[in-house]
Amino acid sequence: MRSYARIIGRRLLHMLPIVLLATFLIFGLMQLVPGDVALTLAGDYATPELVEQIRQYYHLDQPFVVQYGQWLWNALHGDLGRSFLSQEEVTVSIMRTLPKTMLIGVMSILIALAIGMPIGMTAALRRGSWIDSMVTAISSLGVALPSFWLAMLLASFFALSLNWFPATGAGEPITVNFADAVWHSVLPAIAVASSSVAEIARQVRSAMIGIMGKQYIRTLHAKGLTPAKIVWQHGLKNMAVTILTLIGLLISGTLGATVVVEAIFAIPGIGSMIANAAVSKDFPIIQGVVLVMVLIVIGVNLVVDLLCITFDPRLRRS
Amino acid sequence: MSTPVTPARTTIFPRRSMSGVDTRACLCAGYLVLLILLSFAAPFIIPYAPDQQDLVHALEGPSWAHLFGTDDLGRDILVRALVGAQVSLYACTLAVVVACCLGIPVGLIAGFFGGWIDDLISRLIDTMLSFPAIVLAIAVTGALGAGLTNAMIAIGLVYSPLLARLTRAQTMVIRNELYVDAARCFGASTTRLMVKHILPNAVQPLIVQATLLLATALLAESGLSFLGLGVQLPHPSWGTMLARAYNYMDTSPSQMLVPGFAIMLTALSFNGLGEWLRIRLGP
Repeated sequence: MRSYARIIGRRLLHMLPIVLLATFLIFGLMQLVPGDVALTLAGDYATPELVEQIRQYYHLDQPFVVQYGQWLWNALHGDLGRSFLSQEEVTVSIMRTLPKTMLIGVMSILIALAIGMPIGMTAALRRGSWIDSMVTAISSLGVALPSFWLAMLLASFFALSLNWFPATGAGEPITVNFADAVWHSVLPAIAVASSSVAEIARQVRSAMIGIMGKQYIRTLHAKGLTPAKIVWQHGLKNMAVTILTLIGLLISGTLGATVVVEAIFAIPGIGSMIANAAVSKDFPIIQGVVLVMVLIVIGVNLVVDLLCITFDPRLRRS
Repeated sequence: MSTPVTPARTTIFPRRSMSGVDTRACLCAGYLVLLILLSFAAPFIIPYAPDQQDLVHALEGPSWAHLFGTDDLGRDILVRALVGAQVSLYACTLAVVVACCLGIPVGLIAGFFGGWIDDLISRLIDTMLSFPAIVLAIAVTGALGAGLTNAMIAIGLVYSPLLARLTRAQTMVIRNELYVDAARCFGASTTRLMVKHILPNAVQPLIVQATLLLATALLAESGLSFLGLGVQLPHPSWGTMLARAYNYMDTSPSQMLVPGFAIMLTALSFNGLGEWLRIRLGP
């Protein structure tokens, strides 16, 4: 148990410089703005008040290190500034929009697992058959398919032509009407899941092939276990670490894909928020959203690491 | 059991017999060559200019006059998609060149020197890879200002850590090879060692990765252009064509088919070529 606590401690220590470096990069983004930062960020029809507000908020009259220190200090206290356009606090906007994006993200990963795992396993167990080649073809297609184009196709067919699903909006908040929120997120989640399905199918296939070639599987066969029992009881258990690691890897791509897909379905999540903010150079929003997304990715990967160690004691040695 | 003989790698592409011609790779390469040729020949074959408006025939379906129909301003979709291919291909190539120019030198330095330099660069790579790529690209484009070149610099920057990590891993293996020691004994400078002796031997996996990256960059470019951050109207690119088609999704859904298929087939071809190169160049 002591070693377990030490591993957690070491992971957290390893994570700290990455989080710090990430905040530095996020703040450093502003150094890329050409010309006078305050004037450029304020836009073409800026009022002098707004320019002054930007100058004061970012402490533009101070050296870079001081600017960064101030920003980080405020961020640590949950203050990410106010949107230049709406003057709403960034933390408030993020809290309002994040649940919608999270719902789509979680649903898309569940959908991807529900489709990707069975087809990956089938391909592995029928290696070399037509099913296997078809799964390989589908996963190549899935990687090359732009998720926002799939979103347009789904919206046009299932929402506009057949009227099975709503075409726009996120419905009511999750806490008010969960079913309605889920119903609105089905098509976006499928679109976001498309590339993850391909990746999961591919990885599960190769992991399963690896496991089924192991000696203990041969022993189980020799003992006379049914093939189904071998696959479901012994094969799947050994794949837990692969699947967890995969989820950790896919979370970043999933969050990225939600950005454009949310724009298609006009869903007010953090994805469409950053897309709009990038067009209008609303920097506090851009920085806030990127920060939240990086923290989600790092946090999920930390949890995945710890779960992997829990499931597979061999990993504790390293 | 005979031990496999590894050929001396003096050239970038090992000379092997062309007996095993890969049909899939040929299809991918053929499609790309055809696409490039047609994109330049389009103005001579098709009797419409890409920005020639014809409001009487707006939003029409496929016909003999317009093989793939017309868009909301009556412009021929086929010629726009073909001319847009130039923009989209140029864009993803630019992004990959930026990624190579940033990632490869950094990876070389980290792998060659090791020590605290490597620690610092590795941390930086880890950090950048924990950002969702497209989100970071959107943020960088937001800072630089919207536009094709800025968007591609952003995408190149965001994907450069992938190449840096690969170059670093390769360099760490190769720097211990005997021929590097030999060159060092002959008095070769650090730069010469890195550029003349290590890089050429590390380049094969980089070529594979760069080819696969073309597909990723193409998808990212179309996404950014769709959001209005990449290619600016009225220039045709597949992303902006999809953005226009999106506005007419309920009245004329067939608008989105041509650019979407073009993106998918092109990304598929880049991936196919990358996979083929991986097998060809692989150990």
